[in-house]
Amino acid sequence: MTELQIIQGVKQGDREAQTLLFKLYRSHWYMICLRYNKDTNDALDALQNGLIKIYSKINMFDSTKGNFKAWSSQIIVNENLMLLRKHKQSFAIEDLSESIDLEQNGETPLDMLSAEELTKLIQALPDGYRVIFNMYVMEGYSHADIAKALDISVGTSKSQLFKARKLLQAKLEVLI
Amino acid sequence: MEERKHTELDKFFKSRLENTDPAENGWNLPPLSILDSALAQVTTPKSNKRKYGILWILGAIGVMGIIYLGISNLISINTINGELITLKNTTSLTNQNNYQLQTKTIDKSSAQPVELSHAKPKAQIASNTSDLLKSTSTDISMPKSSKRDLSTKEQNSLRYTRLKIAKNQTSTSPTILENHKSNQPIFEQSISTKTLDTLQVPQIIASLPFDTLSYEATGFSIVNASFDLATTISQSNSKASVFLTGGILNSCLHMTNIDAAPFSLTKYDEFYQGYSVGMGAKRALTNKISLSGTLSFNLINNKSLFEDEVSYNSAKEVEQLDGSMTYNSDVFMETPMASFNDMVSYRLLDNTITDGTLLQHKTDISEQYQLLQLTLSADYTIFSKDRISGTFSTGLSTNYILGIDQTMDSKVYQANDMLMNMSLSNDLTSEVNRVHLSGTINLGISYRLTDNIYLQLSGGYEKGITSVRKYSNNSLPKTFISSLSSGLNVGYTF
Repeated sequence: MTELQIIQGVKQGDREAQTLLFKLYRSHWYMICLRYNKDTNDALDALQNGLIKIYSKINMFDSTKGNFKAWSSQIIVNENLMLLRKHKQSFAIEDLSESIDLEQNGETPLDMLSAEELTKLIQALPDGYRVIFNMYVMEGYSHADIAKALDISVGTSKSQLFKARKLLQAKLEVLI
Repeated sequence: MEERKHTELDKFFKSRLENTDPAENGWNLPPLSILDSALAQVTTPKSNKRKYGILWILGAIGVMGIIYLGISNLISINTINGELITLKNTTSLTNQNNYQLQTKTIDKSSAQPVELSHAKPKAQIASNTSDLLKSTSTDISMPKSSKRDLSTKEQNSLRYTRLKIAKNQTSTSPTILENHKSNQPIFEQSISTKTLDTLQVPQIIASLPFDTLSYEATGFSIVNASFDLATTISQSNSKASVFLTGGILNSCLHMTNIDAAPFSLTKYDEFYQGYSVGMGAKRALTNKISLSGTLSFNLINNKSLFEDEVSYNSAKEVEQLDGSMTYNSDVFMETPMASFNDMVSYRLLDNTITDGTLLQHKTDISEQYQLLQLTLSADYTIFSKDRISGTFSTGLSTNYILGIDQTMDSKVYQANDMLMNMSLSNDLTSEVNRVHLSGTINLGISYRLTDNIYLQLSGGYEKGITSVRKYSNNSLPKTFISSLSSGLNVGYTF
């Protein structure tokens, strides 16, 4: 069964297709949620909200205009942003002094760092840094798009990204 | 470690995390139950749509109601006459035994019983006839010969009347009098366990006063459909806000018996028009629940028009020192808010009226209420989507009556010629409980214009908890204000 056939099945309300689609993309969707949230429970909440949107709006997906992974990823990201907004009214400029709390297991070569450790590094970033780093680096948003989505200025987006990178870089240096 | 350039850092994270499988990196894969939960909610948008639809329909009905009432108010004064409750030639007894006698002019060939009831009159003009009837037994029989006498007296323009007397203390079941013009029930709760005999009493009729204008109720409920900007509904996700309110009140009044008294279909024919201004504030406790308080001032004008026929009695004519003539009569009047009982003088414009002449009597009663209303309510956000949110709120209002001014303008006509008139002004404020309570429920839809400013469309119901009108025992009417309202609020959230 191809992805398009699965999506067609979901559009027709086929329960098996719904499950197949979930199994196909749950890792990808969940990883997005984990990167945007410090807590796994929040990540699961965001995932569930995202699933509701994806499955209820899948009839709007047009395979000729884009791929499903990108389309669904955008929905998942948006749901994460909405959840973060609920917890925090705005993505204010964060203070660099906020530390990153990462469990250290001794010196590790950079390439030996696991995806879990790298994800925890991102999770440990302050909210504003984390969101902008994820949107810019992982999802490929432009600063203009980020500014529009988060209702901040382009300069703030750039500044927050710069500080996020500096924090991550400093932490990596410590780890390695 | 050699310092990497930022772009290299980006590439590093992206390449390492892009296709990560959480199951291989210490996380559990999201269980299928999440999908089940999500799919269970995927079907809810339909019900949500239905919910939004119902709310919008309710709002639309409210707005249409406002428009309808506004229009009907404009034309009501011209159409009210045909709908008024009129009881012809009614006389009320206000003796200690709580008797009330009502008489009706009848045609001999179609004589109908007219009942005497203890039911409380809302308004009546009484006379010395009361004294004549005080001694009337609850069991009156009439000899057949009297009927022949009556026929003779009819030729002399006397009216026949049949009386039915009921005694208050023996009431067991309701009796309903009917409006003989419209066949609508006039009032009830006048009942006797005794056999009610009828009697034609010409000698009483001959001394009937300038009577009539009688209507009755044992309780009132004011259904007040209004364009009320004072309604408060919360805005979701707002921590605190203040709002200004103001609007037009357009109301109709419907009278019902509230307490133990049987239900009455008596139409009071009152129309409200007025204005409301106020302000309030609210504070969010959680994302869905907030508390709000509103203080508003309501100015309401209430108008009634009564129309009936009266029989002229020249014994009530009084010549004044300046040579002018007046016609004196006792007036007892009850409105939902208060009562009035006094003798008034009609200015007599024509003193050539003969006894027993039937005249058209029209009375306009206006009452103006000034209310201060403080409402405390709890608001619950039913849904919130983008800029739109729906809210249910319930609260308690404390109403303080600043004043009630009443005016009565009465005119008596023969055909189109006005024969006498009178005008009264009374302050009825002391007649009411100035503080009364009411409960409110509201449904509202809010639309956020900006981050700070929102508009609300709402509909609600207000029900009086305590009586506006003072009462010392159960035989007196209580007045509870009930209102249906729809309104629009403008709020500022900070």
